[in-house]
Amino acid sequence: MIQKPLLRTEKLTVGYAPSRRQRRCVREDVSVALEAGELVCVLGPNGAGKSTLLRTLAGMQPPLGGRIELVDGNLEAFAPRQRARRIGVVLPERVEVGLLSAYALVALGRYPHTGWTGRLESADEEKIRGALRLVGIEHLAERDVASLSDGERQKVMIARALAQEPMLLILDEPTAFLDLPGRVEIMRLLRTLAHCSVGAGDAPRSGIAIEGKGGSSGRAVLLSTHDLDLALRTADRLWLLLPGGELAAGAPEDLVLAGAFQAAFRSDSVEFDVDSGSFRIDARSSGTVVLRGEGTAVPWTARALERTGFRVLPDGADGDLRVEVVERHGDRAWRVRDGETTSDHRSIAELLARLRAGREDDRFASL
Amino acid sequence: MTAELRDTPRRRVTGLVLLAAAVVALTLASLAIGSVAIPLGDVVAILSGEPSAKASWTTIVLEFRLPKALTAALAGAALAVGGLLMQTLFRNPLAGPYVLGISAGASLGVALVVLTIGGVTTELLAGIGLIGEFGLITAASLGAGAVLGLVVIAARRVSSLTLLILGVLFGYATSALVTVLMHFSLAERIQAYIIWTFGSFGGVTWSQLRVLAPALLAGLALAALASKPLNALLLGERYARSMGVAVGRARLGVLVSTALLAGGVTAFCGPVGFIGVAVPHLVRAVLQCADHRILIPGTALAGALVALASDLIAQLPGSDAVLPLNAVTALVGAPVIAGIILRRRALASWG
Repeated sequence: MIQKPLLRTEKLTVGYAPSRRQRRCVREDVSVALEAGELVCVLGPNGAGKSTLLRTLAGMQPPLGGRIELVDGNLEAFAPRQRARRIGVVLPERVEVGLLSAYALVALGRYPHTGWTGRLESADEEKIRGALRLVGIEHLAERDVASLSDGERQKVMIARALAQEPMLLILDEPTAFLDLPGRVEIMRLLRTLAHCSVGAGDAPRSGIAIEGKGGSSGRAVLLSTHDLDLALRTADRLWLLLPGGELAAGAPEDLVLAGAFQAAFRSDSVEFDVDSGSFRIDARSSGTVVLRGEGTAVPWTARALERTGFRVLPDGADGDLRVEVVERHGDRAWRVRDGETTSDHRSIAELLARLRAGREDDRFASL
Repeated sequence: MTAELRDTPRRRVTGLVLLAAAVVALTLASLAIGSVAIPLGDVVAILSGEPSAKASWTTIVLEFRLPKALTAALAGAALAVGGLLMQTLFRNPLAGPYVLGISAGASLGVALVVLTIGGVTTELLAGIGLIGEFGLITAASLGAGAVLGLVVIAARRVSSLTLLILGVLFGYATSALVTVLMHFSLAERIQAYIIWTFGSFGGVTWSQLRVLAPALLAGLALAALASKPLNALLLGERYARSMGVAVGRARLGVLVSTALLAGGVTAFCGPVGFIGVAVPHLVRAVLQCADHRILIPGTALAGALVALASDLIAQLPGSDAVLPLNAVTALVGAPVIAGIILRRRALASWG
């Protein structure tokens, strides 16, 4: 069955128009789609327009041009409450609020569903508990939000967005304040929220579900992040904001293979290494090293060489230098062959010192 | 059932009931206590329409003390709720009902009338008599209304923070203008103006109360209507918008409500200070609550309570002297605010 996408943009222009004459377009001609059940990460360097794009898609600032179509209608045609029933948002700002329990904060997410007094019916309470359960923070319900850690607070904000029963969850930098385990946990949670919303899903357990809007079921999660590595490993698809103004959308691996990922984050000091799938700091190359040997020491030696700026080539290739890891009777040594000269070293630190010295010599030689 | 399901709502309801009982008790006390002490039994009799021991007591209670007590209760409630609205809207613990410049506008109106009109005559009493009751109130209302108009126009164009800064700047500009007016004015007129700035619940008659009470009640009703969006605004305007709050409309409602509350009180009672800033903090701390559906009635009751108490203290029971109302509210209010700032970490209510 082919489903209509939950969200689709046509030639969307995002940016700011502080007055009628002034217009500052941040991104133009954005045509993308978001399907139910997928987790999409928006990536791009600082200032590429991630936040502006997300805020526009969330209906929090008007587009400067083009259209945003939700599965059941044009985004701009919805009244604020109708929009809030379709899109839940987690903003990058830290919420400072006192005397409010996690439960009461999540209950604020029922805003678009309750009457003018904000009175909660038992169905609302059920949805609030469902949202807490889905995010795994039922035990925090009675805690004052001010006393929660950043990670717990972020989960409360996500549960609050879920209590709106949105089909689209938009999060701007949800992992910004968190340490590595916290970031991984939030990303895993968001992936679960996207994936488990389709099919059998979480509906019966949590009571959070989309009530047949436009025949669609399931939820999509769209987030921006600076955590490229985590995004590569977690996202179903990426939207890469390229420096030239284009947007490349696709599976992370496809984008890497097509070179789009490298293009988006090219800079003098960092380079994305396709082979290892990670970023290399200080990409200036000091030359090539052919590495040979066996055992655990080999990959670690390769790492050290790369860190120092050498490109490591496999045995048999032609390089400026040759490094061999020699292991005999539990003793380990690193043998460097530089043209005619050979030297042995007892540790990686010694090896690197030798290579650095060699590099200095080369520099003097070329003067 | 309330949203605060898990936060011991019973304690909050009990708190509200206790506050209401205290307001009733203090109202009765302020009817009984004064330059002439009237037994409580007679006060109750007079209120229920029965004759009292002395006919003059009936006049004192019904014509003087009752309108004054009602004015104090209403004005206190109005200022406290106005302060709460501003603190939530601007997410600033030091905001109060006057931050929009409403009372500054009213002060300017009054200063223009008191300090300039009839500048030829040196007869102060004649001047005050002429402009008297109506003149002051009209001038203050016009001043407050003009500022309200400016605020509403500005609110569509600028952010809340800008609005706050504009309000403060407007306050400075107004007091500068008043200073200039005072510089060229007669000593008696300056004194009359200064006495107005002391604030008083005493001057309000039944006929004036017929104007003041509906204005303040309308402001309070508007505040109560806004309690749901106000709760969402606790997370900031951007989050509120994302949860479906029509932020522009909610902000306008809150501003108009505050302007009615602050403008009404300033016009009829003068710029009564401190209640609006201090009482919301007290109520939050006592009820341990951020839900405006509890906070608004709680703040209104506590504001009435503090105003009645201040008025009682200002009259220095047992003596003929009367202290300026603002001196009393400030003497009560300043230590409270100081205490809150020092205990801020314990309250953890603002970032």
